[in-house]
Amino acid sequence: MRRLLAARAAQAVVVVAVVATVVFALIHLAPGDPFGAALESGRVSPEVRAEWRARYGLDRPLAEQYVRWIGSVARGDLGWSFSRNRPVAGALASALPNTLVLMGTALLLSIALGIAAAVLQAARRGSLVDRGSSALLLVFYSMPEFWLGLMLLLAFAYELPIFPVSGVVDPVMHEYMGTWGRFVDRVRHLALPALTLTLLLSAAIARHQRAALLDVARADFTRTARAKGLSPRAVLLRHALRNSLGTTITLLGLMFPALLGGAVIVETVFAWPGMGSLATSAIAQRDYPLVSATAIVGAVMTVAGSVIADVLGATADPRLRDA
Amino acid sequence: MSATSGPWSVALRRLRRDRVAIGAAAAIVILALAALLAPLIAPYPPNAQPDIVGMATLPPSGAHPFGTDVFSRDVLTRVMYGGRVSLGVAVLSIALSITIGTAYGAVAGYVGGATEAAMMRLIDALLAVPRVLLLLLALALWGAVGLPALILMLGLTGWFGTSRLVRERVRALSRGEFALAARALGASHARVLWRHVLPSALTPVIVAATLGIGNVVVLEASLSYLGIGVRPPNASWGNIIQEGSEQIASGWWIALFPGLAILVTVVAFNLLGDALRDALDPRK
Amino acid sequence: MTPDPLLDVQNLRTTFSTDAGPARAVDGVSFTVGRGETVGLVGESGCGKSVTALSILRLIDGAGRIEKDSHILLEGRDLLSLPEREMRDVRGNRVAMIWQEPLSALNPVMSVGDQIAEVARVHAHASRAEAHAKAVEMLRLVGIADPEQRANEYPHQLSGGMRQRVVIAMALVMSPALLIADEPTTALDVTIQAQILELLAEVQKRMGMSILLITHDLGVVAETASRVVVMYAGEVVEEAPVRELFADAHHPYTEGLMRAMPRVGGTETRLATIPGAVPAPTDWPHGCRFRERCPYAWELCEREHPPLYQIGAGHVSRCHLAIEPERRAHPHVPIAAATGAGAGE
Repeated sequence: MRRLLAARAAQAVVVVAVVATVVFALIHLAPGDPFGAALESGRVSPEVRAEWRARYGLDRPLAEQYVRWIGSVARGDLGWSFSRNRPVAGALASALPNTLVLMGTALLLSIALGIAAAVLQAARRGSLVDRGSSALLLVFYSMPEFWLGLMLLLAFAYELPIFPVSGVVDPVMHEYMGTWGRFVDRVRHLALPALTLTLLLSAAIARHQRAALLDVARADFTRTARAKGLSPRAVLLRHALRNSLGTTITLLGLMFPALLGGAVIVETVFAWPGMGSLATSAIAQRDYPLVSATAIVGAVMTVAGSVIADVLGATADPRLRDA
Repeated sequence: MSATSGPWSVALRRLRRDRVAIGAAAAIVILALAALLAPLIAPYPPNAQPDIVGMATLPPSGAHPFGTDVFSRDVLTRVMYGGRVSLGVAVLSIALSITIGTAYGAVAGYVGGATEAAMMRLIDALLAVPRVLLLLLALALWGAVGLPALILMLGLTGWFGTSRLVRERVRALSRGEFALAARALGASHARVLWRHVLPSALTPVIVAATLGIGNVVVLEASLSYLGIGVRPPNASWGNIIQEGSEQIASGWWIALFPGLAILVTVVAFNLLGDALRDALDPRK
Repeated sequence: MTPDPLLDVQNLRTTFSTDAGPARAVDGVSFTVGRGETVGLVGESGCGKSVTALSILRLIDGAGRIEKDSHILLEGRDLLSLPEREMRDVRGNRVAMIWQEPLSALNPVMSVGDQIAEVARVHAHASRAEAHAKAVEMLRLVGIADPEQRANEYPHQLSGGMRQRVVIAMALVMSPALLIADEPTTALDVTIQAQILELLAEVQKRMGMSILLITHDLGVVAETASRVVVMYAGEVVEEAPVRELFADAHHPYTEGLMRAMPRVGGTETRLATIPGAVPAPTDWPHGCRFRERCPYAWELCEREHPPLYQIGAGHVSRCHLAIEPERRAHPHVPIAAATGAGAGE
């Protein structure tokens, strides 16, 4: 286990370094200055532009800039956001919790929902319930997240105005609510974006989990379990489910980048002020330090997610614990 | 013995009996034809704005089955033309991805050793990067890009998984007996790889590519929705939905129909990919 | 034949539906197992012996089906007519099974103690603590040192021999009346094989259960069983007390198996093999199913499916040689060897 963690930590460093390199390469391959938008206006004199370039080291050789860039990433110094006029780290710090709340909620709900659906399907393999729900899951699995979000918005915010259209809290009334009221307000705002992500993610989990359960159902040890006199239900829940969880946890680790990508898009649909909204608005304003920082933070989150998945996987499977 | 005829002829026979696969293939053919033949069969010219005041945002009717948008354009026509872009971008970028991925994976798997380990470590790292964030960054830096550049970017960020698949198969096959036999007969490395190993390694790639088309359709739509993929005046399903999202309260049909087109496409490719994988599974 | 058998399998037929049509894997098998007796069920792989075992526990699933006119009487009760719920009370309780491959037979993510305890939880409704105590007791019974410690370990942490001891412990929790052992030593090292057979003999003496020992290895049968049932191509082809079988095997297939058996101190440097292979269960040959591999086969064998002929006391054989014994003096090259092809290919 300790060896596994050490290996994963080393890998994490490599991943972040690769991402930082890719970001650096992209910025320098792109046409114009990294500060193009801010400086390429006629009102900025060439002297000022030169001064800025010097201040940010853009007049240095590329290799030196690269080393400085990697160094600043390693120190966690992510620079200054022009569009927000505050340190990038600060902008990230206010956005990250919202993303974590959204992703965490969706993740927990979809694991529960996805696994429950898969168990139900595997228990009634080949039945109408199994085939019908498989078809439904495939439909959700195939949906673009922003479109599902829009349709939910249309249905439950416009046609049936149950939930608010956007944001984390009510911009006016939240200040005047009690503790309980504020909590409800947050939940109501969270509902649609979380539901969008949950429907998509639980469909992916259920599809995988169902296949994994059916795979395990063919294994010798499930036959042993039946030969011991266990009911099909006990075989499924006590033997098959526990064995197939490992692969699902691995899958979640692998899916983490896609989940983060999905969250970015869903946030935009619902104007949820998290990392995704931050990234898209930074792009609109060509705020490159902020854009690159969100890419790097995204990579760090991905790596963290896969390390967590590995640790959980090892808890579920004693064979990995000894690895 | 041809390396591919065996599993593929069996698979084809199985697919022909698979009603779901046939339905999915039919849906894909219909969507592709509607897109390809759009200039011939679309009810209106692609960007016609007959009456921007009187005919804007009309609900679906006989004359406009999918309604009209805020510029009075026919949504059905736009969805058909959008399909040309969405499907074209997806197919071309997948073709690019599997070419790069196959080449990279084949080389890694065939050379083996430390080179292979390094090559695959890089893939591990690249796979850990959220693709949407990478594309956001690239597209943001480059600003407005044309369709060729968009295809290039989608293709360049989509081959990591393929290279892994190919590497595994090539590793297994190039250590296999028939590759050894070919080497013993004096075939060069490149020839063994090209003629003997790759054809057998491509089976999972074809399945992955089929499943991948759906993914890329969604990805392109998402980027276009964010305003950095396909940009107006080019219509793609994603940017039609983006325009529709601004009218979601007054004109739901603008966002609904292109979304359904995406949904049908992705479901069809997923079903076809699943069916293909089952049909090619030698265990069955 | 035993007068009041523990297990009485009558005309067992188990069929699987396949792409190539129905596969009659077990095709009219009858035999008995007496109380406290060990019966060896012998044959090559593909002859239907494992399917017979799974049929007794009714663990045939998916494409497989036990035909209507089959009967499996355990202590006089037909297992095939029991509702599934009552059948579950039989599995692991009155009839238990041990498997060929102990590593895959054990759940990799459950401690071996929990896996043994589960049997007591299900059948004796034992509390968690009682079941755990039972598991430790069973581990001690099957000769595992430091059972308290081992109970908390996982299958991958144990050696192959220890894993098979765990599988045996799991089977013995409820002191079953019948233990079905499907190739219990095949996957193990030779030295471990003897230990496991010894253990089985010892627990049988202590608990008095019957054992149905399924194996392809006549050597194993010689050491443990009192009676042998030989299966070929889904049928019983010979049945005899073990001494009689070894002294006077009647069926040419049994003869072939004997010649293929390594002997301790034997002088042969090469073992004889039976030419050809078991035919496909979707397509059993007409007449005698062993015909093409048989050195004595003649025209009658092609025309007529042989019945089980009575050879001696408790000795039957499905071979027409019983009516024309003089042909045994004139063997010829079997068809399968002459054509150089496996009969079933």
